[in-house]
Amino acid sequence: MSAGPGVSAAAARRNRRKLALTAVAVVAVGIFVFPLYWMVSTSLKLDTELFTDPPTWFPSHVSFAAYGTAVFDNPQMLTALGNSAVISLGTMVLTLLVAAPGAYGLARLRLRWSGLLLLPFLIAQLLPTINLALPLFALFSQAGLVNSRLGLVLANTMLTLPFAVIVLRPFYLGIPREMEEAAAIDGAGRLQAFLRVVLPIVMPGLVTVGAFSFVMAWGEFTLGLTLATETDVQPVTVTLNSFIGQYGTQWAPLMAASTVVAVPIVVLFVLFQRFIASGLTAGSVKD
Amino acid sequence: MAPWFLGLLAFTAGPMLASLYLSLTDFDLLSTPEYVGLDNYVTMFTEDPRYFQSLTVTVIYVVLSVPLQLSFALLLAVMLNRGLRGLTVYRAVFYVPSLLGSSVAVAIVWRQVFGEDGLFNAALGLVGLPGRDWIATPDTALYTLVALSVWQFGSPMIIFLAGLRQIPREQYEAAEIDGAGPVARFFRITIPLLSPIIFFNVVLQVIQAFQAFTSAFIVSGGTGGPSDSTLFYTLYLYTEGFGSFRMGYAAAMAWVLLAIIAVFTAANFLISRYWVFYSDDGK
Repeated sequence: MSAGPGVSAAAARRNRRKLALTAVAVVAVGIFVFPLYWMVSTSLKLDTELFTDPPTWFPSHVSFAAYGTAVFDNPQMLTALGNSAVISLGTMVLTLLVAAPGAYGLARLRLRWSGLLLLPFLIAQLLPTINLALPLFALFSQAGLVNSRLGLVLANTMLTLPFAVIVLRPFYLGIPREMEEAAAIDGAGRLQAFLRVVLPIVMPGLVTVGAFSFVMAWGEFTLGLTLATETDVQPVTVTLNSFIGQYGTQWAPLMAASTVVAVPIVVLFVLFQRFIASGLTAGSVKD
Repeated sequence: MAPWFLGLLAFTAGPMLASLYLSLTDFDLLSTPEYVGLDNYVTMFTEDPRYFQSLTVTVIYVVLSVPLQLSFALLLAVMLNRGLRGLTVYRAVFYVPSLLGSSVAVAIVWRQVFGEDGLFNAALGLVGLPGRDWIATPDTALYTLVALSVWQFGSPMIIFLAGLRQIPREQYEAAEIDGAGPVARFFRITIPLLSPIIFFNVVLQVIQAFQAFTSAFIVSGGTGGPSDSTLFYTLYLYTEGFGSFRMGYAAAMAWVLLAIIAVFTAANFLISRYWVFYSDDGK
């Protein structure tokens, strides 16, 4: 096992290059994470420290006062957080309930034009949310669904559904028909076969779709802004927007509220990173 | 499965049909819609200067933000793909801004960062450059939004990473033996072999850039100001529909926007014939 001098020189060069790349990556990470760091650190500052010139990079006294003002002692914010939790969970459940069998049907349909049926879902991806909000407002005001959490769940599901179907279909396509036929021979009905055999296999896809639907609904702003005008049903994003007017340039409470709204998304991402990344790359890379 | 599927279609298509009808009417939400034919579409193109302003702002935003964002995403993906340690950590760190990207929380941070007393001016001050209120200045407000979009390069980057992993290492080794430097390898191997993925990202990001709404709404306080310099198409549509209650006009704007996005997407597919390279192994 003796390496020639040329080989070790190449290895040293490779090591140096790796070190340089790592340094660049660390600096890049620093710059890109800084706005988020800034959000959290501003939220921990006292009012007196907010407008010092130059600004302090670390809060000199860590204070959670802003969290009290803007979030935990603020009934409007607490209600909004509850609304968003209900709306996001509702959207997640409804999306899974509709998309799981829907995408299965789409995958199992063996017709010449079954690919064409995917087209509406692809076109739906082109739609800006505001395009959807407009007719929904008109329809919902007829149906009494404006200013209701149920209405927001329905509306959010319209946003998540096309994505869910597109992500799930390939998972179903990967299942051999023989598997379901075997289950059918064993006496399981079509529904039983779907629930007991098919669904467990596509579980990773369902987790991806579930996590994405929750995150999309939690961060959704346009539908909340247009379909919920009363504060008691508003999702937290809309309440956060109204805080801008209320707090102006009192950045500490604004950043505290922003941090609390951002936390669930970060936590979900850390927990489901693998599934979220696979959901993103679905449809772009065939393997 | 057929009835289920039809229900699914109705769920998606119903509101669109309603919107198509609304676009042919005069509708203020209170009285019943009054049919006016193509009047809304004619007004848009003949007597509404703000409409053209919103179109201009949006096109500038798309043309600037998409190439910048994708260049960053590709550059970092290539670097991360070079067998760096802790790949998953970097991937997570870069992706989190993307997840939060179009969120209200981050847009609020942007208001602070690029405001008069903000972080950006403080950083400029450190190197002795004069600052200004970037968000309240018509000449610069739009660029703060472009910066916000570039900052969210996480999802295209993850897609690039997945694509880079499929390029066989032997290709690079062979090129290295033939004396190709890193730059030549990037342009002769990475770019052509990655071109289907680049294309996918371009299509997706162009669509998303046209749809941008939340960040512009929050940063401009819902007005598209200062002086309409951030009046995105979607934002103008919103103020017409929900601010001035001209729902019919807003619905017509929505359909034209959809058509514009469709045209850009179709153009992307047409142009792709000249630069996207598909390997011939049938993938």
